[in-house]
Amino acid sequence: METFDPEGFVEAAAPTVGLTLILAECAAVGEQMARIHALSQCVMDFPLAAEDDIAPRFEP
Amino acid sequence: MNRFVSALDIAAVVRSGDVTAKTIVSDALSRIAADNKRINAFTRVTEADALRDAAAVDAAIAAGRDAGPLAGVPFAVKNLFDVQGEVTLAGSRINAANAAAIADATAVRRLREAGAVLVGLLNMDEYAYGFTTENSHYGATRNPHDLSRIAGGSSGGSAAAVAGALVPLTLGTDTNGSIRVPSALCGVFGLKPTYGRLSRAGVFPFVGSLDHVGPFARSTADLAAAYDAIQGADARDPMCASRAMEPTTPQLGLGIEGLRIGLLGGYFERNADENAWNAVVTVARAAGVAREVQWPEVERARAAAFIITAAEGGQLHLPNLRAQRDAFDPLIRDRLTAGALTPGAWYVQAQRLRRWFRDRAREVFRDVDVLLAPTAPCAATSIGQETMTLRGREIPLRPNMGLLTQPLSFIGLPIVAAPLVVDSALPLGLQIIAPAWREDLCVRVSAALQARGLVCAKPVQS
Repeated sequence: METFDPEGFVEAAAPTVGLTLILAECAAVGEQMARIHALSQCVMDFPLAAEDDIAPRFEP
Repeated sequence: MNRFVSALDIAAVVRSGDVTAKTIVSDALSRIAADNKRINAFTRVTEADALRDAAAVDAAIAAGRDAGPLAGVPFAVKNLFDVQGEVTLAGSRINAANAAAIADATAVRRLREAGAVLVGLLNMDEYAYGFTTENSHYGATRNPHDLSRIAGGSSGGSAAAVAGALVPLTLGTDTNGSIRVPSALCGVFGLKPTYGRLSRAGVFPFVGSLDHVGPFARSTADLAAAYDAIQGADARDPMCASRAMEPTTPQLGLGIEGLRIGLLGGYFERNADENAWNAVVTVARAAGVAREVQWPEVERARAAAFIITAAEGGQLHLPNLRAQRDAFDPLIRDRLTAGALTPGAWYVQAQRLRRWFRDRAREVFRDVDVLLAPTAPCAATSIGQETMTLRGREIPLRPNMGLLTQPLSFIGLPIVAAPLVVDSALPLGLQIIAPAWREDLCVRVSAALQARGLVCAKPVQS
């Protein structure tokens, strides 16, 4: 089963947006990334029809 | 005057000339000087400007001019609203280096035009990213009902200033619950309008997709008066709807007869502790609400709101995260950084889910006019507390105080957060939720429940 390594993800992704993080910071940010990742799973798993596309402007 | 006097009563005596605005504002300034040390709601008191503005109100009345529906009413705003001549801190140390604002935020300007007098700026979580107002730079705002406890956030100063009767009206913002959670924890009324209803021009942003502006007050009537004063289209905020003014004050006495009101169960019961849930059920029964409504996929909606918040908030602050990371409040720095690294696929799917969830909400509102739900999962927790226990589960406190508010602001519904009349020492809150653009229904139900003695601003025991 594929597992998500939040600290490794943060370490790899940070330079792509111009962030320089030391290892201790990667660990702390990784804790937050783990929470976002966990929540993202139930969002990504949800089946949406193709027509449910992103709105250019959200209308409540 | 009694410190708990309403904004509308203040305006009435000032407009009639019985009491001067200068007297009213001086009293408010004295209360702030005496009580703010304990509560830490204000980060800045604009005393000289307030006295000058009060004198202008008095001069207008003396000259026979209309001084406005909120003449002489002292108010204060969360320190992310632009106030001409003041630096817009947004709860941060970083923004303290910015130049002073050159103009008022639209909402501030409109309250001033209605005759209200600004007396100061209020504490908040840094950049509005929090539910506790434990600001590392400016200190924690303390709950006036128990100074060892949080006021809620991120508009904690706005709620505490009203609860402590320092001022009768304040403004705050709500992205995921930042008006409603502190309203509940401090025992006052708050209104989060429909997304796009009130202008955010001149308000430091947090999450453009989700940010709302709204008032706090100690009664439904004051809340409606403040909301009505700041309504109106504004080209300075591209998301502000170009709708005609829809005043809510005329709805105050209509009662709830004929309205179909439901109680949101399921997710909203599971994520409230027994006290918070039972208090809402008691009020719902007393109001004759028998129908419990189940809303599909609320948990996913909350997750999507969390992702959008993280991604947009992180992106907004990315330049400062690169350049001066250590200047951020440690309570939010790592959350913002993780948000800045959130994959686009997660964000886009969350926005798609938002539209789907909005459509389900529209279906629910075919069968009901108004929904009720608890506001915060529990009463105010201790300052510094890291976790809370919810139905036997121990969960981190700071990200989860918005469990019950986040799924609703996600789709922009209008909500009045009303303080429940409860026997407990600490306040608990009720969300009164209506379809988009129906703030009138929220206000109408809140006023009816207040008239029946079911909701009321909790008096502070001094």
